[in-house]
Parts: sequence; C-alpha cells; structure tokens
Amino acid sequence: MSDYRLFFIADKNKSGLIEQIDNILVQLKNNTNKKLSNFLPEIPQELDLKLLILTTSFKDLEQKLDKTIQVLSSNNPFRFSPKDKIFITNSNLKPGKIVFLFPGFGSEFPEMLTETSSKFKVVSKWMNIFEKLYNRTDTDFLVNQYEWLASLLEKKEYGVAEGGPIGSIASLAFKDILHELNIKCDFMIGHSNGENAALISSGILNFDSESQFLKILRMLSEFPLPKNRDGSYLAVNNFSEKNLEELLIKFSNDVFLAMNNCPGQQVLYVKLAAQELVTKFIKEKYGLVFELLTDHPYHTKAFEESLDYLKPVYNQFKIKKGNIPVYSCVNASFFPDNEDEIRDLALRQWVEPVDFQKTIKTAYEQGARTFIEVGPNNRLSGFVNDSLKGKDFLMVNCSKENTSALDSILEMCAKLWVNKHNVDLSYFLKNVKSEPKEKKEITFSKTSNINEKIFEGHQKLMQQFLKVNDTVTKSFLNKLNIDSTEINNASILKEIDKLLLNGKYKKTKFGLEFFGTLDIAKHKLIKDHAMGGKLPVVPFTISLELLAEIGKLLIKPNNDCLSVFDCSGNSWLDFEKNSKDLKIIANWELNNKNEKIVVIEVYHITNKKDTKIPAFQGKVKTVLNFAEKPLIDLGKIKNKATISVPNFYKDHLFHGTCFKSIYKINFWNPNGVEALFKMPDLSGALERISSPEFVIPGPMLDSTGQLMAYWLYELGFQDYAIFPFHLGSFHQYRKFPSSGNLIICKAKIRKESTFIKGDFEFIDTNGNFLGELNDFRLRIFIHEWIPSLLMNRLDNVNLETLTADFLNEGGGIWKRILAKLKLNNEEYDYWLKSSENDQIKYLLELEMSKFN
Amino acid sequence: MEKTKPEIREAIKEILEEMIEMYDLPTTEITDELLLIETLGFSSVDIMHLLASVDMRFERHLPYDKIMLKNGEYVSDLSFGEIVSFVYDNFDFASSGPKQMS
Repeated sequence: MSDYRLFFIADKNKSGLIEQIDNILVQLKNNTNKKLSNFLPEIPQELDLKLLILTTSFKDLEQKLDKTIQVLSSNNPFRFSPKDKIFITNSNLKPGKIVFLFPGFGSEFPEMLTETSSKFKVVSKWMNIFEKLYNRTDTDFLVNQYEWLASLLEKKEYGVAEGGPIGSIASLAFKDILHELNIKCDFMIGHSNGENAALISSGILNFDSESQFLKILRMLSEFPLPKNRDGSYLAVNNFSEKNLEELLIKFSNDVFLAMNNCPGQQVLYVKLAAQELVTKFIKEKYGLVFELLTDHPYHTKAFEESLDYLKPVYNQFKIKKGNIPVYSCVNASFFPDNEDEIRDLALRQWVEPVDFQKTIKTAYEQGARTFIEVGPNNRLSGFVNDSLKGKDFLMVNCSKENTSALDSILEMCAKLWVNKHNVDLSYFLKNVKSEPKEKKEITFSKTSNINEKIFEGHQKLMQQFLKVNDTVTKSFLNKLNIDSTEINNASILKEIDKLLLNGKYKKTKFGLEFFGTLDIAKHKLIKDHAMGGKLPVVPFTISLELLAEIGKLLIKPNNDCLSVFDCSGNSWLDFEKNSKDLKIIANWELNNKNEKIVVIEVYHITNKKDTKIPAFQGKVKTVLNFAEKPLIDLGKIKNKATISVPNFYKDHLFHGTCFKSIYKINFWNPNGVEALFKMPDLSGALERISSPEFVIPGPMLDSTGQLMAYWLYELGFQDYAIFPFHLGSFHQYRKFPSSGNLIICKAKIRKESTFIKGDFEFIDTNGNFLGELNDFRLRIFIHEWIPSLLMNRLDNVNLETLTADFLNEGGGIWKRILAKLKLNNEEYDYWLKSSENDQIKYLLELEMSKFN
Repeated sequence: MEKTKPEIREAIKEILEEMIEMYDLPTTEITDELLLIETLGFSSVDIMHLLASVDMRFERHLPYDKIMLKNGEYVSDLSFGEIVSFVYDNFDFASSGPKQMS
C-alpha cells in the first residue's frame, strides 16, 4: 500500500486557490489534533486550476502547502521539483489526443509490479502468466509471487531474448491497471518489441486462451540466435543527425542504425571488426558511446534469417482490425486494416530500424498531446521529452525504478488529474484510513475442510522442502573441513560462560564453527523482544553481539575496540517453539591492508538433519583508527518532543526492559534526533548468568531503531513499523558504561522511499566518544493493522483492510504475529505446517468469520 | 592540463545551471547530494547531454560507461557529487579531444 494520502483542491483561478490554501493553513496551524485524515477533502468539482499534493503526514502537508503558496504568489511559472510531489494544472496544455507508449526489451526491473495486486486485482492474472512461463515450482515457496519474480529478474538467468516477453507481459498488466483507473487512449505506439504489447492491447493481435498465449510467449523466448552474429549494439548519445549520416555512409557495410530513439540517442549495430574505428569517429564528434548487452541483432538486416522462425509465431495470433489505431515505428504510420499486411508489418519491425523519434513527432503533428508510458521503467519518457523539446505536451509514466509501483501509478494519476484527464482517483481514496468500526466479538472456529487442505498442502511442501535442503546441506558439508577437532569452550576463552553464546565450538582450518541453542523459555532478553508480546524475534543488534563474540574469540584483541561491519539479515530469527538452534561459521582472512578480518555466517537449524537457513552475516575486525571526536551536526532547529518517552514506549513500542534505553529526548528536527540513553539493566537477561557480559552493547543499540521510529512519529507518520536489514558498521572505540549510566546519542536520520537510514554517535557524560553506528537501515512497513498486531490490541481493527499481500509482507512476519495472537499453541503448530497459501486463506477466513 | 576539484565542480555546476534554466526547472541549490533523476527529473538522455557538455568544456573524452552503466544497464540515478568526483578522478587518464568546434 502506498505511503501517500491525497490532498486536492481546485478553484477558478490562482487567487481563489491561494485563498483556499491560506484558510486550510490557518486550520492546520490551529489544530491540536494533528490527524492528517481530518484534512483530506473530497474530490473537488472540475474547475480551471487544480492542485494535488501527495502527502505522508500532517507536517508534510503543512510544509507543502507553504511551498505552494510561495510558488503561486510569485510571478514566475508554477514550477515544483519532482520530489515535492506537488502537482498543479499546466495552463499551457491544450486538449489533445492521448497516446499509450509500450516499452520494449530491457524495460523490466525486479520490483516493477510489487504489491500492485493489493490494489488492482487484474495484476494477478499476469503474475500467474509469469509463474507458468518461468515454471515457478514449490521450491520457491519461501517467498511470495513478487519476491520470486524479483529474484528471477535479479539473477538474470535468461538471455535478452527471454527478458523481452517479461517487459511486454508487465506492460499488459499496467495497461489493465490503466483500464481499471478509467484512463483511455486514442492511439498506441510500441517501442521495439513493445509493439507486440501495443498490438495485443489494441485488439489487433488476439489469442483464444491463456495456454495459446503461453505457447506464443515461449516461442518468442526461445528463438535461435542468428548464425552469423559478429557485432554488438552501441548506444550513441549527443550525436547530431548530420554526423550520424556521415557515419552511416563512411561505414556503410559495418554500421546499421537499429533505433532512432530521439535526437539525443540512437542505437547502432556495429560489426566487431569496425567497432574501434566507429567508436573513435563518434568520440571525435563529442558523441558518447556505450556498449549494450544483447544477444540478438534486432532491428537490423543481420536479424533477417530469424524471420523464418518468427513467421509461424505470428501465424499463431488471430489478427483483426483492432479497436485503437497503432502506429508502427517502421514507417511512423498506422497499422493497416488488412490481415496479411498487419502480419507483414509486425514482422518487419524485427529487421527494420525503430524510428521512435519520427513516430512520436508524427503523433504530435496528428494531435497527440498526452503521452502515457504503459510498462515498466520510464525510459521512453526521456525519448519523448527530447523528441518534442520546446512543444507543449504532457508526458507521464506509470513505473519508475527505485520507486514503489503503487507510488508511481499514483503520481501518474495525479499529473493526469490536475491536467483535466479522466482518471478514477477514488481508487486511491480507499487507501485512506477509515475510522474505527464498532467492536465485534472475536470467535474462532476451525473447519475440517480447511484442515484437510492444509494437511495435503503441508505433505507436498515438506517433501519438496526436504529434497531441496538435503541437496543444499550436502553441498555445504562437502566444503567444510571435516578434520576439525572439537575442543571445549574454556580452551578458547575462559570468560565464555558469561557471554550470550554458549555451546560447542569446533576449530576449523581458518576459524571455527559454533553450535548452540538460544532458549526462549530461559532468556528474559529474548522474551523482551516479542512482537505482540507473543512472537519473539532475535533483535538485529543481538545478532551483532553474536558476531562480535565470535569475532573476539578469533581475533583476541588487546582492548575493547572492535568493528562489526557489512552486516545483513536474511531471515527472521524467530522462535516458533521454545528454542532456536544456531550454527555459526566463522573464518578469518586478511584484507588488502593486511588486517585480520573475521567473516561470520549465522544459520538457524531447522531439524535434526542439520538443515540450515542463512539468518545473518557480517564481519568483525579490531579498530585501528580511532575517530577523535563526534562529527554529527543536526543543525540549529531544536524541536521539543511531543510525546514523553514512557508514553512512547507504552503506546508505540513492544519492547521489554532489556531493550528500553531511550531515557530522554533532548530535541528532534528534520535531520534527526539527539537523546539521552540509559544503559539498560541486564541482570537476569540470560537465565544461567547473573551478570552477563556483552562484547558490544547490543541491547542498547536496539534503541537506535526505536529512536528512528520516534523520529518518524514526530514527522507525523502513522501505522508503521521498521525492521532492520542492513548495517554498514559499528565501531566501538572504548567499552560502553555499565547499566544505569547515561550516554548521549546523536542520530542523523533520513527517510528513503522504502527504508529509513541512520548514522549514530555515542558519547559519555564526560564527553568521551564511545562509538558510532553507521548506515543502519530499517525497512518501513505501513499498514493500519501494524500497531494492533505489534501491541496486541486486536479489539479495534478494520477487517476490510486485512489482505493477503499485507500478511505476506516482510517474509510473512505479520501473518505469524496474527496467528500467534489468535491461535492456541496446538492450533499454531498445525497452522505453521500448512502451505503459504493455506496459511493466508486460513487467517483471512478466520477473521471474516467474525461477521458470520 | 591539470584541474583542481573545485575548478571541475564549478564548471559542471555552470553547465547544470544552464540546463536547469533551459528545461524550465525550479531554482535548485546545487549540492554534491543533488540527484539528477530524483530531484531534477532528468532522464538518462538528459544526463548524457550533461556529460557530453562536460567533455566539450574540458576537451576530453571521459570513459562515462564506467559511471553510467552497471551490469550493462543504465544506473538508476547519479548525484552531482558523483559526476564531479568521477570527472576529477578520470581527468588525467582521459584521452584529450580536438578543440571545441564552434
């Protein structure tokens, strides 16, 4: 679900709009109940000047309205930075035709569709096509559909040819999303093989069934490489038309124009023998040259021999006149009506240059004024902007790398709405948090039908699971030094009994292995970090302590100065039962500065067969270069806390006393927070040790994440949780003080689109610099169920907003908390063994049964 | 021809300011952290214009593929500071080009 809420107003003119904003700002400033939802108006009526702001919080809205007033009050044109997320009518734009643009090869990226089906059910159909095309099996059960697809794309275990259909299938999903949003077009254009998506969307290319469509996609994915492939693609930028003509004449046998994207970029297919001379020629004219990855010479004569393979593919389609005209980039003209001519032209695009620039200019000349890129990424937008430079038009796209798919779609809708296009914004208003519903009695009833399905699913799953893990384990064990000698703890370090780690060690050739068990029933430390008070999770910072302890055993430093760095979490170290078996493998190596570094991997063991799941990894070394003084400067603004620390812990954090280190907030501002921390009382934290010793202050460090949560709270965020996944480094310059002592923590914090990032410095009350934590990243989750789940307050939740996508987020943490809160131990164990789909279905049905 | 990092920063800043003006973008403070795509809304084609202008300004052919391409694909964003550092680090290794054509 998107983080953004929509704020919109409209008026007849600028002065009317300013007056409305002024009034709203007065209301905002005088309002003590800083709830954003109180200030989100209804969709206004159609008026000349429309303003839409995407906002995340009360304060964010206030700042953006202030900025809007400044811009509107000046005599300059209304200009906002893209990151402002403020959209206003461009009065220079005149009504015109709308064109959908479909991108081609290489537009796909891992997260292109992530979470879209939570809002647009039509996407599921296309996700299922992906699964069937790329044979998703039960081995991928650990992740949801989107994570599986992202992983497929990240691995790039396909050639460019296979990547082609991926972008086109995603484009078809985006086209269906636009249809849901009531966004329609007059023309369509496909860039490169994006033309297929355009032809299918327009109704020109048709297929009878999903299986026939899959057959066509497979054929398109698998066509053979041309026999005489002796060149490569070069993208050429900043190369004038005159220079291009000269190049094509001079190297007429070796250089072919494959794509004329825009005045600023062409793509050439260049024979390898001539590549050096061609590159030199281009650079002499101050052109920029980049070699592109490709495995086929598309859009050139060199691809001609593949037509024999492609013709039968196009014969699979049923061809009709279609509902919407499509331009061909071969000749910048509409596709003809005749079936044979359509097929011929569709085939020709594979061997003829893509003249996208000319096609865009033609569409503009024929009345197109709004261009919508329908597909992953936004590369065509750059080509259109360059091709139509100096003209009045609107270019929008529904996807952008590094931006959540839903946010990109929302931004596109905002731009279309302010510029008076039809778009169903009410779709996004369903995101807005609803008021709490009347309390309902929660009852639980199991149905035998569900249980049978769970059991069947579980059996199938376990067979697959054991098979896969057996292979992984065998491969892994083969790599271990089997001649290792088991030795007792005392010979490694006498003080081991006071540490969190307590178990068996084996020396290995370059390090050691540790086997041990963390026991929830015994350790208060672990119980104090239980979500919803029921699902304990090993805190990220305690995992750091595990690394530090192992690292110290191998490095044996003379003092307390250690660095723990490059740390990341793979899976939740959660306790499904009362204990967790861990295996840690540590090996030392020398880095390029000849420093000894210990590389550590933590696994949790899932059964007696030694099946390991990677949980955490990182590196440890001694600190050689001390930072002399703290460097973080948070600036002059010093806002007072709007909530007391005890109340923040009571209402917003689930932590027990071992992890409560925030003592007082000195101040906060948009750059971060300065706080006083009190070193936590850890007596009794570990059951068998009255005074546990920590190599680094892991429990205290957990409060750095809490401080980031506090900062988000002050910025007006609601319904969020943040969970760590990465740490750049923790440097400990001297031993941290004992329980009850105060230290100062300065935190520089920045929010990115999907995560929050912080740098921290710790100083004792005498001004000594104790250590620093850098590049600590926590993923942000936002959903109205989150506070209720984390704080175990399920008596006032909105059942309509509980979705499968949410429950599957974050490796399924939410579904596990919900199950822990709702099921007794026996039921929970049974539920846990079922398949992912059945787990979700079970919880959703369980919740809905309250209404029955 | 040696250039100091501040000289390079100033020259690239001038080019970027001209582009901001030409593209009708809001006045923006140019800092090292300024992201060209996220903050200015540049496309990869716009970034190429900027880099080509830098080449012309310094009469150099810098190996921009090292900064623009990662694993054969265009990077998702670049900051002003990254470009400045890249030009500074590669300045003396770049092949010098012919005089700027008028």
